[in-house]
Amino acid sequence: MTLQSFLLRLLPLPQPGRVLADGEWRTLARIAEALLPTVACGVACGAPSGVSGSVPPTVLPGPSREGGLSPEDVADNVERFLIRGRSKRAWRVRGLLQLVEWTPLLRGERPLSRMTLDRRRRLVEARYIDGRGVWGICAKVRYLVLMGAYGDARLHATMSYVPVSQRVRFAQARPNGAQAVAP
Amino acid sequence: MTSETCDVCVIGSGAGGSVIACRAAQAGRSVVVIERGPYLRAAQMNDSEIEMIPRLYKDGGLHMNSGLDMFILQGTCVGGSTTLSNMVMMRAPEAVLPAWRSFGAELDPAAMARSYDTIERELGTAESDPTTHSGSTRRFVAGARSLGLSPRRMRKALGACRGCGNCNIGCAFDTKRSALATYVPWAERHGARILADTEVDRIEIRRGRAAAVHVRTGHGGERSRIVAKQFVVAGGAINSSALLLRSGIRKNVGSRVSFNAGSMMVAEFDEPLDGYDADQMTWFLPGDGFIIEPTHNPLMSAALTTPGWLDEHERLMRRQRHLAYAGSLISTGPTGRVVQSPFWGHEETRFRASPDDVAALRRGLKVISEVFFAAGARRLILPTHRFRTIESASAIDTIDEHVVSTRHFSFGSAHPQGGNAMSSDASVGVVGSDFAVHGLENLFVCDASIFPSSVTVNPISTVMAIADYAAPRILARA
Repeated sequence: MTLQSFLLRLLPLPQPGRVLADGEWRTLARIAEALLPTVACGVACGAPSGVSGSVPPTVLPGPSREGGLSPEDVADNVERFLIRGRSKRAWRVRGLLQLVEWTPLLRGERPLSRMTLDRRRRLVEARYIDGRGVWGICAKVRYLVLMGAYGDARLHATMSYVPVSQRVRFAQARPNGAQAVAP
Repeated sequence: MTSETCDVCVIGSGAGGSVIACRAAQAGRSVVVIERGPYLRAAQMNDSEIEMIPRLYKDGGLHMNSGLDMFILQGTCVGGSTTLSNMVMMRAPEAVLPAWRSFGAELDPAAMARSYDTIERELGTAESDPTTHSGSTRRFVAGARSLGLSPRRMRKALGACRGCGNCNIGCAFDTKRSALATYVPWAERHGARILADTEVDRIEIRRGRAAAVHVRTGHGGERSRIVAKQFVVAGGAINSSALLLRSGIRKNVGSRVSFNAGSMMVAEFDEPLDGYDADQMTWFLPGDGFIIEPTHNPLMSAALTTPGWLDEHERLMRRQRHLAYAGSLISTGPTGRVVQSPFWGHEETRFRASPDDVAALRRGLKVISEVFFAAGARRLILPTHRFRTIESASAIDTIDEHVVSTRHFSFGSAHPQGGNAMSSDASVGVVGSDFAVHGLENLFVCDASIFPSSVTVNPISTVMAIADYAAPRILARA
């Protein structure tokens, strides 16, 4: 028996068509809320004081991207990423999320998804950033959260980033930005 | 289980496999190319990283070493890593072939030079186009020159590149001269069949010969068997070793894995540079045991390479227009290993950067720091997990304190090499100088896995040249 087959027997079953079980998805959303200040208060939040993102003068007028990015959106984006990738290592992501959920018990805290936002942030600051031992493994969840957030077009304008399909100089030779990739 | 036959079965459609397939098809052989990933044409590519990366990268870009302190990026799609590379075409430095020869890899230098010429001509390799150079790279180059250093323009195979900066998620403009746009369609034009979304379970060995490969196609995993006169394994480093191990070929397999690996330094400038709106990579600066490559990424990848947590990370991300990135790339020793792990249930890459590797990396990071400060950077951000900045050139030596263990800073590689080292000496190598696996006359390996040690520069050009060199030698053995 491999660790993979053992864990897959132990972990809760995801709903059909999904790769994360409900609890894992919830953990991901809650850690995203802790790691991403903008997302925690909605994308409409302004930039932190004294730091403004200037808008490049090269943006094509495009469809409005109104509407905030929520922690749940980030979790959805990560799950879609895992579904598209069909990674044989996706089970490790599930194991990682279980670890993120339950390791706070080592500090006498509640499971992560039941902690307040403030406590989750303090946990990140106290344990994830230096990343010693099992906390170093938990800290890898940062990459998933950043993918789920910054891969979402709703965050582009906030970060003064202009995707290729909206750059003026490509207006006459648009790439396939507007096309959906066949599932 | 269905079955089909061909003259040459090529496993992998990247830099090595595509060239072999093309040459074999041009020579009139019936060719089947097996590719684990999808066949995505330019028309199916777009500018969304979160859509493209899981489709194009091995394991959706989630591959790490077994110690979880190093990302390893490889392509899994038709065209392999060339589809998502920057098509930097650097020849192996002069010292490399003699070093390989001393290990027993007897490649004819004159014939290799001719193969480099052929590949570069066929792909239209040229110095990077100045109109596609980014603002951040220009600042790096100016800073380096002001210090008396000599940065060089990269030679690349990008065709009529428009400099959109999305090379790493496939070329939606279809200008990049990747294998997807060149050797793969050229092979198809001569009758080669590409079986995409098809994974090789194992190679069937009978009486000292490879008899067939057992494959599974598509989501349903429909099984079939492909019989060929010759088999060429070209799945890239790590994958090719994993396949040989799964097939029961074990002697020396998986050993001598090396990397071009590195870490990224971020510089913040007062004025906007808009580094993302240009070719990602156009210049390099060679140094003492490292190469520096100024680069830039689209937003999601930039977020992953930008240090910091919580508000600090977000503040930097909001300053994207003002940031410049440069990587310090080192060549590690061949100390890594690919194993078929009974514990994890799939192949694992075991590697730990040595103190010498990290020392070379630090030297590169220090030069990057000097260059960026000379270029007018306001501050620099170290690649450490804990957010650390350098506010002036006088503080550059703090890099020595903070960049010590890969557990505490970001480290990764898109250039794994080795695992099936070439040597005429069967006691140390996996393949001989004729590219055949020792003891198996019709099973060949032709990709970066045969490098006995790191080629020390971006390896695509060398893999393609070696495939061009190998093709007539392999086909002559049929």
